[in-house]
This record gives sequence, structure tokens and C-alpha cells, in this order.
Amino acid sequence: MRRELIPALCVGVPDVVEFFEVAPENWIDVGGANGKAFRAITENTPLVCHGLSLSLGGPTPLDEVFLRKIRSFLDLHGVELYTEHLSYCSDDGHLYDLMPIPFTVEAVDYVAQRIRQTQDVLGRRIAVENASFYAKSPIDEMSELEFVNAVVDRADCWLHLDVNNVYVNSVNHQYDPREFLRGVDPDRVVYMHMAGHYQEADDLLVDTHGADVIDPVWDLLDFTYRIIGVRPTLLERDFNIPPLEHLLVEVGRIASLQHRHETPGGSRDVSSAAHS
Amino acid sequence: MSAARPIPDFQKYQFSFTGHIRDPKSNKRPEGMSARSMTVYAELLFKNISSLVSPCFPVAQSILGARKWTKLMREFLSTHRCRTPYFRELPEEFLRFMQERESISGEPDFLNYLLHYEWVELALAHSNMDLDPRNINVDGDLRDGRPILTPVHMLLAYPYAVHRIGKRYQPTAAQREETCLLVFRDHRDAVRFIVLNPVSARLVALIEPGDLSGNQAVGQAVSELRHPEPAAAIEGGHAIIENLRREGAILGAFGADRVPK
Repeated sequence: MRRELIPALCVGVPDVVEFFEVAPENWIDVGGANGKAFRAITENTPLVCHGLSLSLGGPTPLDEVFLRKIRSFLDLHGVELYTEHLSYCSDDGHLYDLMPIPFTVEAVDYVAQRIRQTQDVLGRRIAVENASFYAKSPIDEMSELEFVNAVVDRADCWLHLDVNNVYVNSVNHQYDPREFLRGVDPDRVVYMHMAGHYQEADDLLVDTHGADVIDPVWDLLDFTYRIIGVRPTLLERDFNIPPLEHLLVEVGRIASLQHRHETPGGSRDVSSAAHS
Repeated sequence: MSAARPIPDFQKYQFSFTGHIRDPKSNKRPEGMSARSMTVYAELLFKNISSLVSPCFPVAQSILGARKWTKLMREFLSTHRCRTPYFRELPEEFLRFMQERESISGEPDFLNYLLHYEWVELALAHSNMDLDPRNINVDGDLRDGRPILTPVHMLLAYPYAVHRIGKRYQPTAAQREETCLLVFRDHRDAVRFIVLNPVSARLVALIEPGDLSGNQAVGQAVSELRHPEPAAAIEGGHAIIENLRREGAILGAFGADRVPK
């Protein structure tokens, strides 16, 4: 949920929006007008939390005070799922943006241990999101897919699959996105993201969440639902935010893809998209 | 004797990665990394941090101008280590960085006071220090009862008239002017400020803890002043308190007979 959309959402939450995703960092301990609007809008709509600042791959100890704050926030709002990025956003200080963890054996052990520590403090299993990245580390010992699978397996956590990130990385790092998706364990995937990106060059896409979803990524979502299955899927939009109606067209498109892939008599806990 | 654990290779790489992003001019990019990749990150992170800090300080920014402001942002990114995981608190980190840093000649003497004043508005807009309105009598007696200042306030004293500073008013050190301000969030959640004269400021300071009745606070302020006409001064003091209620800084009163502590 973005502050920019609060006025439109205060009028009413559209039916096609079955849940909201919020960054706990942006709402923990917020009072005043924003705090009131947050409570009014989220009271009757399920919430997913997608963290920004935990720095699962960061080099300094996890911030336990912050983790406990997150736990209270999740409990207070009855949040069903907490996810974080499989990346880092700090060195010996916060940097507020996501950077790629080098794909090494040591890093797998390190990150998996921190995810387990997080799960212990939060008292629940979390999901980690495959991150987009623009710089391939020269010390990599494995592929991105091997890294993601190894971490998820070692930490015994869920995977939050960002379909746009798979596309962005496949272009930036020249791999077949469908091959990547076939290599993901469907049983680990609980949640998905869709988004638009910015094309800086033919071979460089930047995951800005500032544009409409492009057709190849829609095709990839279709493929993902076919081979992994339908999961609650969020439409992310963080920049150039258009009017709510415009976003609802994309949310509706996610919903119709979901209906097409849902097996008759299958799982009913499938939500359609909402908003970041 | 336990030696410190050596830093794993992947973390050495991470520090060289962030080191370059923090200060691309002084720190070489990690070995084997393409210049283009690192430029993408360096620009993304710098733009992001600047966009989280700058909107909080429009006046300071306009006074310093784009070039100096960008330089400050660069210095902030390269030398400061932010502790807060909350994005909205980044302006406060910037404030701390400015207060810990040696000021550079040519920078206005009032700069840090102005930055602080600009930050206060943001801090109060987000504050979650609300009182339970059920415990407050909004029409309560402000003389016998104890006036309740909204907890979402700051009582501030600056050596400059920070609220007037702008492109057209930039006081020098010789034009210092002791200025007391009460900044608060009103019942419509708007952040507002009131300029206080020294008497009003003293009165607000006496009311702030919430343990004095209006009569006690005014009485104490007037006796401290050694006012030649105490009766008139006392009425003046009560008028100030009433006015603060009209403005929304005083929420109401706790009854004289209630001691909810």
C-alpha cells in the first residue's frame, strides 16, 4: 500500500483487491493522519508484509530490536505472511537499497542461518524473495538458481517468487527465464510479485516498479502458473503511480490468469493481486 | 585468547562493493566488476538516499543551492553510518550527521538550527504519541484543572528566528535572535507552530509535565517575573493558556479532583 493511493482507497477498497502488501518499516509506530488512514484501510483487508531493511545478507548482526518490532506489528495486524529480500541493504550502516549477495557456499550457510534466526524471533516461517541484480559478482561459485534453492532448502523457509525479477535477471545475465522457473521447487513457493521495470539498455533492465507490466512478463506469469501453480500475486508499483483505476486493470489481468489456471475443486485460498 | 574471526571472502567483497558505492571517487570498484554495473548501483543508491532526505529540508536546500546540497548528500553517504531501519527516520540521521560534522566555512551559521526546525515538522507529523481522548475533558477548567498539552509537540528555543529564514531572510551570526517556538500537531493532524514570548514559553514549560493546575502555573510564572502589577499579569497568563486551547496545543484539562498518575 502506497501513501499516494490512500485518498482513493479511503473511498473504498475495490473488490478485485483481496489483500494488501505493506512494508512494515513504513508503518511501524506511525501515528497522525497516515497512521489513522492505515488502520481504516487495512482493518478489513488481509495483509502481507514485505520487509525492506532486515538485510538478510548483510555483514553485521541482525537487528533484534527491529525484529521484535516486526513481530509485534505482524501480531497486531494479524499478518498472514512476512517476506524479505534475498539480498543485503547495509554494510556497517544502512544503505536503504538492495544489493546482490555473492553466490558462494559460505554465503549460503551464512544467509540460511540468519533466516533461521529471523524465523525463531518472529515465531513463524518466512518467505525470501529472489532479488533483481545488475552486477554479477566475480567470486560466484554457483548460479543464481542454485543459490536460491540452496538457501531456501538450508533455511527451510518459503520462496517468494518475483516473476518480473526472473525476467529482469534473465535479460541482464543472459539466461532462459523458463529454465529458471522449471528449476524452482513449486512446494516452496507461497507468494508472487509482478511489476514493471525500466529498460536502460538492450541488455540492462532496472527493476524500478515504475511502469506497466510488459507482455513478455505477462507471458512468464502465465508460464509460472502453469508449471508452479497459482499463488497469491501482488502487483507492485512504487514510482510514476497512476490513478487506482489504471492499476486495477493490471490487477484484474492477474486475477483472470489465476482463474484460467485454477484447477476445478482446487485450493480456494488463492487471492488475487493488490498493491505494494 | 580468542582471535577475532576473519571476515569471510564474500563479506570482504561486500565491503568493497558498498565502499565504492559510498564514495566512488576514493574507493576503487571491486576487482573484476564492470564499471557499468557499479555505476548503476552507485547512482541508484545515491538517488534513493537523496530522495529520502532532501524533501524534508526544502528551505535549507534552496538556501544552499543544488550544487552544495548534492555535495552534502555525497558526504552524508560516504561518511555517515545510518542506524535506523526506518526510511522515514533518514532525515534524522542526516541531522545527526550534520551536528557531528565540523561546519565548513562559508556555510550559514544558522544552518543546523534551520535543519532541525525543518525536521521537527516531519517528526511531529508521524508521531504516534497520541493520548486517549477519553481521559481528557476538552472543555475542562484551565484554572483549577491541570491543562493538558498535546503530547505531539516540541517546545523549542533557537538562537535564530528559524521560522522566518528563507531565500530573502538569512541572518548572520550578529543577527542572532533568541526564538521560542511551540510546534504541535492539532486535532486535524496538521503540524503548526506558535511563536512564544519568554513569558509564554515559561508558562508552557511549567504546564508541560502536566502536574500543575493553571492557577499554580500562572502564579509561579508571575512570581518568577516579579511583575509590578501581578493581578494584570495573572489575567494575561490565563489568557495565554485559553488561547493555546483555541489553537489546539492544549487539548483540555484533567479535573482538579482527578489525579490519574
